[in-house]
Amino acid sequence: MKRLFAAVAVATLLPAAALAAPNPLAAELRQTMFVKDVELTWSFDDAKFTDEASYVAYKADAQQRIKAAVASTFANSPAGSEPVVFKIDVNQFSCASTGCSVRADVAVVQQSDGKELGVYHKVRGFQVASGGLLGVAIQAATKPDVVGITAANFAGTLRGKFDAKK
Amino acid sequence: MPRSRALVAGLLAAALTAGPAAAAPVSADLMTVSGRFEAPKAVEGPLKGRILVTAASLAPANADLLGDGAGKIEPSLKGAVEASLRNFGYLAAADHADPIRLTVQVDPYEVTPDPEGVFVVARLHLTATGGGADCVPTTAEARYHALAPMKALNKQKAAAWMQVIGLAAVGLMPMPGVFQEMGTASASDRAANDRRGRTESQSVSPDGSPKGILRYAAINATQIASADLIRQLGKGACPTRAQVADVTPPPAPPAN
Repeated sequence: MKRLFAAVAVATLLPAAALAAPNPLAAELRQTMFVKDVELTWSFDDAKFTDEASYVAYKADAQQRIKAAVASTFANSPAGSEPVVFKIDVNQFSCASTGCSVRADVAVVQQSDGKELGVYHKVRGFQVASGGLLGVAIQAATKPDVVGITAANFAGTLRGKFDAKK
Repeated sequence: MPRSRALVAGLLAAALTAGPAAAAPVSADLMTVSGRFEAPKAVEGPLKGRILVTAASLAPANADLLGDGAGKIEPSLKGAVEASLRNFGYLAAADHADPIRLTVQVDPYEVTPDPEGVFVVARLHLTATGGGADCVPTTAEARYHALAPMKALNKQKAAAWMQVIGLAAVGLMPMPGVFQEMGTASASDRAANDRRGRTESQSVSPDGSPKGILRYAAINATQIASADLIRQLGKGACPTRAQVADVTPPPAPPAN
C-alpha cells in the first residue's frame, strides 16, 4: 500500500515536469506513420511479489489491458503509411483495490528495419481512490475497474505526449 | 421503455432532426485510410502518382449530422482523401503536368438504428477527368456499425449519492468527493467498453448520446468508404492494361 501511495504521489506531482520533456518525434515524422502493433515487456523487478496471487492477477490483467488501450487510442491516428511498433517497457507497477499505478518507457520502432525512432520516457497511468478515508472505503466496496482505468489513463497520457507540438 | 427501444427511438430522432451539434472538429486522420488497412499500393500504370483531388463535398444533411457546417468539414474530408491517396501512392504532386482530376461527393448518409447502436452507409460519388480517368471507380461505399457504449457499472455512482445523503445528514457538503466518484464511475464504464474490441466495420462509440453515436458511425463509414475506393483502385484492370501496353514489342526478325 505504501508503494502505491508513493507511486501515485509521484504521478500526481510530476506531470508538469514530465510534460515539459521534448517530443522525441517531429510532427512531420509522426504524420508518416501508423501504429501497426503494440508490444509490452516487463522490466520492473517484481521478484518480491510474484508469490502474491493478487499481484500476479493484476499484472496479467494490466499487461493485456495496457496493450489494448494503447492500440485502441492509436487505431485511427496517426494515419500515415509507414508501420511502426510501440514497444512498452513497464518499469514500475503497483496495484490494489484502492488504486493502481504504472510507469513505462515507450519506444517507437520502425517496423521495416527495426530502427528506433524515439522513446517517450516515464509515461505514467494511475487510478486512486479519492475523498480521503471515506473514498478509500467506498472504492474498496464498489471495486471499480482499477486496472482498466489505469490502462486508459496511461494510453491517454501517451497520446498527450505523442501529440505534443514540441 | 426498454433501453434498446429508447436507444433506437433516440437515434431515429437524432437522424431526423440532425442540426449542428457542439462537437469537436472532425480530424482528417479519422477519415484517412492509413497503412493499417493493408490495401495494395499503386503499381506502375496510369494511376500511380496521378490523382489530384480538386474538391470534396458533403450533402448539407451530412454536415449537420457530423456536428459542424460543411465549410469546416469539407476541408478535413478533402485532406483525408488526399492523405489516403498519398499513403497508397496515387496522389499527384500539386504541379503534375497531366493529372487525373478527382471530385468526391458524399451522398446523404443512410441511417438504420438497431437495438445495439446504429448502422450508417456512406457512399462516395467519384468524378474523374483527364487521361486514365476511366480507370477510377465511380462509386465507393461502406457500412459501419457503431455500438452504443454500455453503462453497466453504476455501483460507484450509487455510492457517490449515498455519500451525498449521508454527509448532508450531518450537515457537510461532500461535492468534490462526489464528482471524483462520478469520474471514477465513468472511467470504469469506458474501461469496460474497451474490452468489447473493434473490427474494421464495427466498434463502440465513445460518446453515448444518440447524436454522438450517429456522428461516430458516419465518420467511420466515410473512412471505410475511402478504403473501398483505395482497394478498387488497386484491383482495377487499368494498371495491368497499362503495364502490358508499355511493353515494347520485340524487334521483328530480320528478313532472309
